[in-house]
Amino acid sequence: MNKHGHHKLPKVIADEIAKDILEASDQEILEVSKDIYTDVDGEAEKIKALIMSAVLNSNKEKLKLAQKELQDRQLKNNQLGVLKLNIKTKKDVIKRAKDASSSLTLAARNNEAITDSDTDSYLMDLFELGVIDEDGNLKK
Amino acid sequence: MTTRNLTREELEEGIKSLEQSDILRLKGIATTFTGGHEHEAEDLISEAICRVLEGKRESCSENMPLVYFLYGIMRSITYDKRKEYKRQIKLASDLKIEADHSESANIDNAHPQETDLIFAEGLKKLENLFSEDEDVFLLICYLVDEYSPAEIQNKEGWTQTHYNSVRRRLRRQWNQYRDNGERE
Repeated sequence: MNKHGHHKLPKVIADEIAKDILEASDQEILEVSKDIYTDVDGEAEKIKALIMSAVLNSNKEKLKLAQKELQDRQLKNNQLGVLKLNIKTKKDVIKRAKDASSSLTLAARNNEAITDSDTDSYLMDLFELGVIDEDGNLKK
Repeated sequence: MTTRNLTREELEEGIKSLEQSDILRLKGIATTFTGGHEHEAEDLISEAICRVLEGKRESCSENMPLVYFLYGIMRSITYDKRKEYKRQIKLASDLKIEADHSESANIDNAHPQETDLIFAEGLKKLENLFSEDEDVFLLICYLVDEYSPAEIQNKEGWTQTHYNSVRRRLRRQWNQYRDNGERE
């Protein structure tokens, strides 16, 4: 703990001191730490907890980003013109896409498997695969 | 032979598995960069960990010890902040000059001196502190004049071991000063 104010060192000096800390042996680091902290293990534990908390926060942030990405994707897909068509036209689009595309899997080609409630997610997949455009027209 | 960069998962695992000595190293480096400010040092460590895991920085090669990589990140954060601080002071000063329409000539040159004062003050303290240790004093002078460690060794005829020993005295006495105050 600094008892006499804080003194930002000139960059070159701070760098050399930092390099010295990096290159010091583990034993020396522990010895020096004993001069600085009254409880070295406690200090190390405190910093470890800080590090783990930073990792946790970073993971939460990553999850939040993934969720936002998913929401954006859903929002984008919900704006597709093809999803505003009536159910018969939607099924026609799917049929045309299946007939035209050789890259779809056998399962995807199975007409019977697509129920009315599946059409939207199927159309979104076709759009994301680049088989149809946002209005349901086949892409070349 | 090409080296691979660590994945985010490997970095996270490495960070979680840091040994006590490396954790203490990180704390020591962060404290050095923040001039002994305890909370700033802890914030610096947290920020570095987050940046590493965000993956926005340069990647860590599998051959590089993680603590060296984290040192580089903390260093960048520190000096980016110092630069930003200087920029803001200059901006504030410029805005003040514009608002005042006063004699700008005197104020105009004030901001660089003002911002460098913090660092100049640290340097002055170091010079006072090490005036009795000639080698450390020389080391400080050379470093401030931007000599590299190799150039310093060459000029003074120091071996690597002697250089390391002088540098160690610099660190230890600076720590002592920082924690206990000025030598009377």
